[in-house]
Amino acid sequence: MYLPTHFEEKRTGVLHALMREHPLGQLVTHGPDGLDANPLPFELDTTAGPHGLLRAHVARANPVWQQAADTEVLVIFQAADGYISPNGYPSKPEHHRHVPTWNYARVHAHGVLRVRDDERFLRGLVARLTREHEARSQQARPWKMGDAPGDYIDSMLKMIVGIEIDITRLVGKFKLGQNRETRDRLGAADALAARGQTALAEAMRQAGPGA
Amino acid sequence: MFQPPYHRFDDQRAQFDLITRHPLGTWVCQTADGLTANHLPFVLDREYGAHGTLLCHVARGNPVWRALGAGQPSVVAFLGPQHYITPGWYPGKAEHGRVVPTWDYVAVHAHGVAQVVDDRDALRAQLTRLTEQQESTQARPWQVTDAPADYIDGLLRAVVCIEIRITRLEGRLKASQDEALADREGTVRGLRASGSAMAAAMADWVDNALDQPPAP
Repeated sequence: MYLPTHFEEKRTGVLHALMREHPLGQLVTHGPDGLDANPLPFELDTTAGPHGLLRAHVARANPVWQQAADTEVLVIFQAADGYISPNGYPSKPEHHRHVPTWNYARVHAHGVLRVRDDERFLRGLVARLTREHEARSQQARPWKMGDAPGDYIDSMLKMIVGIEIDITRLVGKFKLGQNRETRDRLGAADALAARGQTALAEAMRQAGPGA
Repeated sequence: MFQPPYHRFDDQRAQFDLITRHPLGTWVCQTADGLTANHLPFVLDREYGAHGTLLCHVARGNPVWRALGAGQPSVVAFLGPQHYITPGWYPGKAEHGRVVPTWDYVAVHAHGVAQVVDDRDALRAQLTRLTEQQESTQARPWQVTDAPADYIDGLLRAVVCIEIRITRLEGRLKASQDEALADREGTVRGLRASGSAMAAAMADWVDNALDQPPAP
C-alpha cells in the first residue's frame, strides 16, 4: 500500500482498536485459482505475538481454506470513508488551489494462514465472537450459544472450518486530511457531519497534524 | 469469493450500481513485495468491454504502477453495507431456538488485468467524471475548472491513470436469505431500530431480498 508518512498510523493500539471496531475483514488470498477475497468477521487476540493473532471461520464448502492453507495472506479492515469536496475548505475562496479527494482509514494485516479444522477451537471462537458482538450491539438480553439446542450447534460446527493468522506485519493508513491546514481539515469534517457522515467527520477531527 | 447459490448477486446492472454507490475500491495485485492493496476511488465505464472497465489514478510516487508491466491480474473489491445479525431479532429464537448469529453484507469483486494508460486527456476525463459523480449532491457542485489551470496541470503530472478491463464480476448478497421468512422480517425490524446509517442501509438490502425464496 502506498503510504506517505503523514498518513501512516504506527500505534499498534490504534490499529487494533480499528480492527475491533470494524471486525469484518477482507481475507485476500492468492491460491491456485488466482487472487481471491472473502469478507469474514475476525476475532483479534492482542495477547498473542507483537502484532496480535486473527481467528475466523469459513464455510467448509468455501474452497479458500484448502487453497490458501499455509500461504501468505492479507486481511484488510476498513473504517468509514467518504468523498471530500473542496467546498468544505475555508481556504478555498482565497486561492482555489484545491481538488477533491477521498478520506478513509484502513488496516492491513499480513501473515500466514493456518487451518484449524478442530471442533474445540471453533466452539471457543464462535462463543467468544457471539459474546463480543452481542455486547457491542447492546442487546437487552444477549443471545448465548447455550440458548440453542446442543445437537443443532453440533451440526452447525461441522459445517465450518477455523483459520488462524499470526500477524507478522501490521500497516495502517489513516488518510484523514492531516496534510492540510487545520482549518481546512476541520471545515471538511463539519461539511461531512452536516451530511450525516459523522464517523468519518469525527475521525478527521481527531487526526491532528502530523498524527 | 465464496458464493452459495442463495447469496448470488449476479445481475450486472445491480453490481454496477453498487460499485457506483461505493466507489472506494480495494485494488489488490501481486507484486514483488507480496499481496499489495491500494484504496482508490474508481470510475466505472459500463459500456467499455463485456463487463465494463474500471478507471482510477494513483500517485506517481506509488510504486504499484511500475510493477504492472504488460498487465497484472487484479481484483478490485467493493464493499457495500454490512452488519452483525443477532438471533435476538428472530421470532424463531423463542419458538425452536435453532438459530445462530451471522454477519450480513453486500460485496462486488471485479477481476481483470490492470494497465497504465499514459494519456493526459483520458486522465482529465476520468477526474471530471469522478468529480461530477460525487459533486452531484452538493448545493453548489465544485468543478475541475474552479481551480487555476496551472494548478490542475501540475496535479495531472503527479498522477498516473490505471485502467482495469473487467473480465469477471463476482457478487455476494448475504442478506439472511437462508433464514425463515419471519426471522428475515425480524432482522429488517431489528436493523432499522439500531439507529445507524449502516444498519438502515443493510435493512434495505435484507428487505429487498425478502421475495427471494428461503434457502433449503
